[in-house]
Amino acid sequence: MRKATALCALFWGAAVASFAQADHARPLGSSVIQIDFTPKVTRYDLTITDTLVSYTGKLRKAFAVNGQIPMPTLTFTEGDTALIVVHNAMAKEETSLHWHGLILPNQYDGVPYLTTAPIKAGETQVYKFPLVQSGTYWYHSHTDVQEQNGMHGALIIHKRNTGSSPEQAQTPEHVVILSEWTDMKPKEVHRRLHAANDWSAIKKQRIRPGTVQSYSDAIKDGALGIKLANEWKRMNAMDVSDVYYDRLLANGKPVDEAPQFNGGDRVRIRLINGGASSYFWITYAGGKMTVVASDGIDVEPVEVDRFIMGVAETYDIIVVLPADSTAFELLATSEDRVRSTSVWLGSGIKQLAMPLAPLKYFDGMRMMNGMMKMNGNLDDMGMNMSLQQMDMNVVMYPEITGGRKVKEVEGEREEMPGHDHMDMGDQYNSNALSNIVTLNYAMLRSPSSTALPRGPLKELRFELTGNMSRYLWTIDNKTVSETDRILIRKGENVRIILHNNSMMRHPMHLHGHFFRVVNGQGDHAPLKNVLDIMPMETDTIEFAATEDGDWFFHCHILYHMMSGMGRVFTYADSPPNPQLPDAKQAARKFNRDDRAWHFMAQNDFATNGNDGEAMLMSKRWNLQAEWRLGYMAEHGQEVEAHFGRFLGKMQWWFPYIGLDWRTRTEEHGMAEDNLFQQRSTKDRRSAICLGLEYTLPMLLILDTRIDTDGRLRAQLMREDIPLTPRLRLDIMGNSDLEYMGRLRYVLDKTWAIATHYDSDMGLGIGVTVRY
Amino acid sequence: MCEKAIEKAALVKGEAQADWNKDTKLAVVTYDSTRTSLDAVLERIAQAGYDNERYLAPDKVYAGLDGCCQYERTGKHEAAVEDSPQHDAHKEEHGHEPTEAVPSAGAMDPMTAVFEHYFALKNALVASNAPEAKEHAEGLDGAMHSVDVTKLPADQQAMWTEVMKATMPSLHPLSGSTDLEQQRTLFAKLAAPMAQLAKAVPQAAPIYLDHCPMYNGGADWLSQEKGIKNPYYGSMMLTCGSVQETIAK
Repeated sequence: MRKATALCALFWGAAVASFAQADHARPLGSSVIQIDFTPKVTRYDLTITDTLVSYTGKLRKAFAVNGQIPMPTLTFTEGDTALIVVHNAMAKEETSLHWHGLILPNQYDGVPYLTTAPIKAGETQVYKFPLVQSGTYWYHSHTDVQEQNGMHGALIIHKRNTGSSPEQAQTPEHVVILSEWTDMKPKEVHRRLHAANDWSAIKKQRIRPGTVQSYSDAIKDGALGIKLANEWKRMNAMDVSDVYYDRLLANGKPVDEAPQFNGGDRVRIRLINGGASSYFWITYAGGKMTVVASDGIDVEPVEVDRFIMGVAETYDIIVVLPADSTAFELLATSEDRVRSTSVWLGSGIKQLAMPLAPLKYFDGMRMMNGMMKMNGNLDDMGMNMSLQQMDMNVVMYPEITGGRKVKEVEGEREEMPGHDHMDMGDQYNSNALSNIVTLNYAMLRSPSSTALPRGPLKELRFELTGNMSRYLWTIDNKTVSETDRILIRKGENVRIILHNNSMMRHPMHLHGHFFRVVNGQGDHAPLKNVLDIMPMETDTIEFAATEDGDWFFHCHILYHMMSGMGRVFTYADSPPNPQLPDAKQAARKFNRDDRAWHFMAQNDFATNGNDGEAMLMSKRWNLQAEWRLGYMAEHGQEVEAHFGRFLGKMQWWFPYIGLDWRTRTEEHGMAEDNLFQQRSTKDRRSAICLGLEYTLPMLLILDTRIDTDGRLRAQLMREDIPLTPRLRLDIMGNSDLEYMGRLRYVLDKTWAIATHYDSDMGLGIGVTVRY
Repeated sequence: MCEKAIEKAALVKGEAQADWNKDTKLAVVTYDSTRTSLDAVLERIAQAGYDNERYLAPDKVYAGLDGCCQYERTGKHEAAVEDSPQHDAHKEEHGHEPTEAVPSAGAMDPMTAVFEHYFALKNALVASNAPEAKEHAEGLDGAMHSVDVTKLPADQQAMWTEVMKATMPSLHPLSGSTDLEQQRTLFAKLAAPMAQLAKAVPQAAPIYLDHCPMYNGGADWLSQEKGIKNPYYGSMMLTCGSVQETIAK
């Protein structure tokens, strides 16, 4: 180990090194290869341009490398040196490329402002590093949300054929990179996620009825009680994934074909999930699949019927084509089961794989109701969940738990007295519930020992946290920019115990290292660089600190990462990074991502006036304004603005200071009292106020405030109650005896028609525009 | 009925429709080529269970078709591989020794298959043959999962659900285990639900509920023969135990 340490330092000095040395920097667990070959340098030139593409018939902007989407597959051989020349030919935008899963010197890791200089428009960057590993990897932009539209590609490093395993060399292979396409600009996707806008769900509803989980959907399924209990616990509709995609793609196409294979062939498929936020289920029409590698590193072969690929994970599988003159479908279905993409292996008549049936959302909702505590924490009921073995989502999978049959069974748990925790867990263990074998992390086993070298142990505990309603994703309720970097020392072993206390699964990725997933396989724990962790799971990962510099550890769901879900590991006493001479400025720019402000606004142009609101939000702060501008003097005009900070992990508390200005000509000539026996000034007011908003069960917002004249106001409001997928109800009432009710029918992401009744302005009908 | 299913699968109003002839087994597909393709229509028909010139239905969908709608799958090509693991399961290996007999899947009423596998598993444990026990545990697991609860008589459905619930926590690890001692521990837990099952469904021949007072404080098993052959200790105590009950119906 000491020798490796010294050699890494050498790479810092010069990017070129001899291969005998490079060999020692290889990841844990792989065997040492012989050095009886001539090393060579493999060069790729990549030119990044912006381009227009049409996946759905609409022209949209995207990024292409050498004119291709996805980016070209880079193929290398272990032991060689990669020389990659990246030219940014775009007019304005800066970019970056990160080599996902590769062990390389820190300055080539490609995280802009953290490890590597950004590639500004017109600039060229040269990456040169030795390839000390083999397997299935990929590369993508680490700048902003560029990865979503086009900037992802496969990176394959073949084993050097030493003649010892001719079988390896003979197995024909096919590389498949999975991705998604949305016609909406990724930046807008991100902005809308923060606005808790459920347009995505409405789009999905067209393909999969029930996705919105509106009241009418609930009634149809006989699950109104479940829906109400869900809102009582302050949960919005359950999302399996947040973004609506217009297409799912395999190698950039809705359908990929590999006709070169024949009946009887054993084929190695190198699968990469290059999606920005989608998990994919993989199933095969030709029988079982044998998983032989995960995240690039070999595992002992394990035969399965299906497996799920977390965002950014890679899996190598061996499949057999069981018949001649037939193309067999390898089916990749998004976790929400809204869309799928296929790879046809072989040629001839097409053998379809069994499609995945729609999710039983209300069964999932009932399960969540049982797990969610009133304070927003999740309760695993003593099941000690880990390693994907108990998948709470099985309650939504018809193939495992039977067809649609939502029934409201009260006290379900009490019906099973005497069952211990094992049995409790088995109701979520899909391998015990059915004869379909689903891969989980406990089934992965390294063929060689991955035991860590001796060294001091540093143990860290991370709680993954977040809330859906404001799309805030954090670790220990802190974002990247809100925390210091975590100092580690070369030579120590780092153990991280992760607990997911949020309602979504997170694919956590560590740059520049492989970690062992502690999974009951002892010294043969598998090595990975992405760990999918489901809600309520606790997983332990550990790695030997053998590098230098700064390494990002983050959720690989692009929009979670952009919201700040991550940490940076920094090696103590690292040499300065030549790429980033001004470390302070770089850190500031790196932290910029999760400090972004998001703007949203809506206005109702109605027959009786204009009525609207605008918000400028960051992850903790919010500046919001509301207005009601009547056309008639007696309807009055009013504007209220608040500025405040969200508090708590669930962000249910929002203290603020505000301005309230209004004027109205009272037709009755009579001032009114409010509920607190104070003279109401709602006809003429110009006041500064202090207030506190709190989200109550049923998602009601209680807004209490006092103004500079000492007047109190309490208000209850609930917006966007989903009566049907598209029909929404807003209600409001306050102690100034003002009240409002509004019905909106959502036409598309921008337009809605609305009718409202307002105690000041009366009845109005209009058109609502939403940004 | 089959005709309706095919035509319904093809139909998208204003886009495509099909007219299937029962005698010729040919469908005339009419579609608007500016909005869809023949390929898309044929894929939908195959997803509904009906093979055609371009697509083969998913096997599970075909298997789920009503018997009268099933047909000879001439589009399916011969298996090119001889020894792929999926095919071993279907090979019939009717040997001469009774313990070697592997019930062939599909040929038998699923409930009969459940008992066949259970007894074969028991015999393997009597013979202390761990690999064979694993094979039959897998067979039992498979047979139990292929019982369609909706096809059982109404009075057996609740019982079957209970039996499944009670067996799976032990049967699942059992079918993955090659360790004889572990297999026996888990096998002991199958006795109670299997006895419950044996009592509830009609039996062609009597079944004996046997008891061994020594194994883990007492354990049961089911057998087709009256003579005791103890599955928990192998040849050490082959005849230890006694018949507790005879189940016949």
